[in-house]
Amino acid sequence: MAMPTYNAERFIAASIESVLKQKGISFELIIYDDGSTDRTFAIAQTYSKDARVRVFRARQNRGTPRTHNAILSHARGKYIAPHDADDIMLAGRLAEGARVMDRRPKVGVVLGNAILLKRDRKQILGLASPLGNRWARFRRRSRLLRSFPWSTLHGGVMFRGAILRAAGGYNPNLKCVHDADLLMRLWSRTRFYFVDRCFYVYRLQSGSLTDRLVRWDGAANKLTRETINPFRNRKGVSIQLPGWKIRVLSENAQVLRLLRKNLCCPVRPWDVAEGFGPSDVLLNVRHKSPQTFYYNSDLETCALRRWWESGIGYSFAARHAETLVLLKTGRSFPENQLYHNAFLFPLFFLLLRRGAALVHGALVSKGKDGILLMGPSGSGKSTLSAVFLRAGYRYFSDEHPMIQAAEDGVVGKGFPNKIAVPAASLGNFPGAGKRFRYQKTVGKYHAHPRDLLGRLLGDTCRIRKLIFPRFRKNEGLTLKPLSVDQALERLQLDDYYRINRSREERDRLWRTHYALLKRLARGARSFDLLYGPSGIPDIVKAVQKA
Amino acid sequence: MKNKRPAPCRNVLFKSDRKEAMVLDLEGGTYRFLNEAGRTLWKEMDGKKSMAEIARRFAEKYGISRGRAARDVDRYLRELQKEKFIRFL
Repeated sequence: MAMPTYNAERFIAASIESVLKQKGISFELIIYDDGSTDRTFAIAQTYSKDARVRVFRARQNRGTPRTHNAILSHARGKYIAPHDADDIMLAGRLAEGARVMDRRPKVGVVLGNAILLKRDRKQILGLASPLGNRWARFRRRSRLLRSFPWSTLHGGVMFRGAILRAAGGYNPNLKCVHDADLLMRLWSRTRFYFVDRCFYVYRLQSGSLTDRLVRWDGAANKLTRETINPFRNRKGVSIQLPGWKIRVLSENAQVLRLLRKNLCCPVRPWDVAEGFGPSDVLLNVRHKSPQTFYYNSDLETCALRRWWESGIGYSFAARHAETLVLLKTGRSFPENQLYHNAFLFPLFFLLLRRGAALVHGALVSKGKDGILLMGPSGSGKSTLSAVFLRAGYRYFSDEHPMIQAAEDGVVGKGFPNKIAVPAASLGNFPGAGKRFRYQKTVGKYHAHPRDLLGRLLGDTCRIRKLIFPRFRKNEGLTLKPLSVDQALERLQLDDYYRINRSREERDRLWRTHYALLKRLARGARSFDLLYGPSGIPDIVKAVQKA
Repeated sequence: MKNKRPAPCRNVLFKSDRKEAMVLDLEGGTYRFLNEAGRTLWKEMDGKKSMAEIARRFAEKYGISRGRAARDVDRYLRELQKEKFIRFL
């Protein structure tokens, strides 16, 4: 047992006693005082009569990672379990960790859950798990982890000593997140095993990182004040959508340029000082070096390592109001990747948390009745939406309209992007060729729908029809009704749904998304549209009749 | 036994959400999750109601016979007492 201490006189006695109560295992408790200026060392020494306890003291404060490394040099045990001086160890934690290690020689790290207490220790705040979903009830199967844990609960970790030493111990140069750093280094060296048991009680200290996180949870306003203030000098834009205001703060000017370039809804400069409304959502795009990223990985726990390896990471700390998008320092990103991965994808998750979703489709409407065209790239969404616009329909988006549950079905909301068509489809816009500008980066021609057809942009519509178009060169026009189940099956091929479904530990969001798609399939009439060039002029009539 | 009044031990914390609840004994370092019935019982244990009274209310709430409720409540509370989450006054 490794217990580094520093000025913990109020809690250390209870903490030591909770360790000494552990049964079913032979252990030593090494208490290393890191130059405390209070009675911590004296209190610790009173326990040194117990043969299992060894107490050391540093002459001056050197920081937690160095203290951990000093303990490591004194440790004689096969396994190392860190335990903070203000935590309470729960019964069976050591025996259970050692049992897993004994049975599974390839496992180098065992992780368990924690119970979070308010700082006065009179109230349970919730449960914390390395698998995320920390403030809700969880029951998870004990198992080998296949992906890096979302949360690194240091007090619930047990290491195989040999592996810890081989990895060089803790990084002494880190002032914080030394524990997350260590686990990230160990991840490539050994296997991690999760045990679905609560291993310790973590007392939130006032002002600590975790304490702030807990207070953020559900306290969007507080969050906003705390997160925005440090960014007063950052540039931001505000995107006005029906019922939503998307704020984007970015250290990367390219992101903001891209938004202005691709979107045709109002994108205005945002003065952070003007504040943040309760229905606003915030995307915060920042540059991060790999090392500082650990901070977020440790604190917010949801940043995805595999995305980070591709250069862009996400952190959903605030869960309801904010997503942090992290771009690896020194990397340049293609526009397409930046637009999708640093804007649309995190925005999708942000909206999903609030019951709305983006879909990869095109949305047009006549009056309040909307038609949603859903299909993969190349199915002709842009071309078909142009056909509908020429017939007097309003334009919502031909790439990423927003859908949201309503009392009587699903409403579509405008999130208008510039119409982007390949050269071959320019013929569908007679006389408008000059208004298109070629975008080399995506290989398509872009135009603002208003410039193109003089139509107003759509705001909100009830989605009445769902069309799944498929283009075939030699086809005419076939419109075939689909059952609710068939429509739901097709909807599940949506790119955003597939992204969501493939992510682990996102059950709640997945359920929200699935329920939304199900509601959409039930509330709208669905059709499979097989068309070729000769059928395009008749599409609008056929869909209207259907 | 029927007249004994169960009450949570000192240092035992209780947390409940919509579905489940947990109790934590800070001194003993033990915890236990309670299901819905367990949560209902825990909330009844205020040190004032007797076990018989608690069993009667439990039977009414879940629509079971008083005899069965008395047996179940007795067994459950004894378990909690053994684990030092509650005491009998």
